[in-house]
Amino acid sequence: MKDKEIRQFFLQHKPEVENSGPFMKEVVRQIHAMPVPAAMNPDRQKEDCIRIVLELSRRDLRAVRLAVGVVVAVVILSAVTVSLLPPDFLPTEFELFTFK
Amino acid sequence: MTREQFIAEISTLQEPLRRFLLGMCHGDAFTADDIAQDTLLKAYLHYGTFQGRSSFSTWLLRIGYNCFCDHVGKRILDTEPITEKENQIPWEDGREPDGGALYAAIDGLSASEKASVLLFYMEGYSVKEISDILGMPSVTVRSHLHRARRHLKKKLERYER
Repeated sequence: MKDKEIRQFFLQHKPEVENSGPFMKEVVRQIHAMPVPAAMNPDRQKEDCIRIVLELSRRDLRAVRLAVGVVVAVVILSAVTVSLLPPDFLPTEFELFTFK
Repeated sequence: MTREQFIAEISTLQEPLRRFLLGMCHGDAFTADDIAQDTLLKAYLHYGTFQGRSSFSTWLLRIGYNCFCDHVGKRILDTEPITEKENQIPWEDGREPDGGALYAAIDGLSASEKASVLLFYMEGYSVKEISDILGMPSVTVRSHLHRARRHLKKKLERYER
């Protein structure tokens, strides 16, 4: 007996499924009696999208804040370094403003 | 997928699911429908776990097979004996109920072998899809099909006589 014949036997003798209408009616009734899962809730999906957008914008804002912080830190560090240098190392007022 | 889309989807898939479970339950339509209903409600409640790596029908049948295993496990724990009627080969009695020849042909196979055979020959799933549904390697499915084929050959030759 070949594979094809076995398949044919199965297709010829496959059981008939009855009462699909009442069966589905009962399943649908039970589904409607249950809460809508989060994965199927369109409002929840919208909320998730809004949350993602807010999170991304928050992340962008955090990056800008970090950049500003770094710039401020560099400026302060430079100012402190300059103020700690010995007086003769610094250019004079004349040298500074005449652009030699 | 919304709730209405889910209902539309299961409306088309309920028939192969129920037919598969009917075969697994040896024609006990009441138990098969009970398991099918349980399967569809579980699929609805756990829809979030469907990742789309396999097809929706494969995912649904996997839940169905697991529900069947849970049911069989419960029955074994309840130590419900297999009745003489359940063990009888239909055509030996002179009457052949709907699908009776098929139930008798797969009688004697283990649950996973029965599932492999039904999915492969009756529902036309590939070995890869069956391995996803039953949660076992393709090699095991192939060996199940090989063993089942030998079994079916014997049974069907007897049936043809």
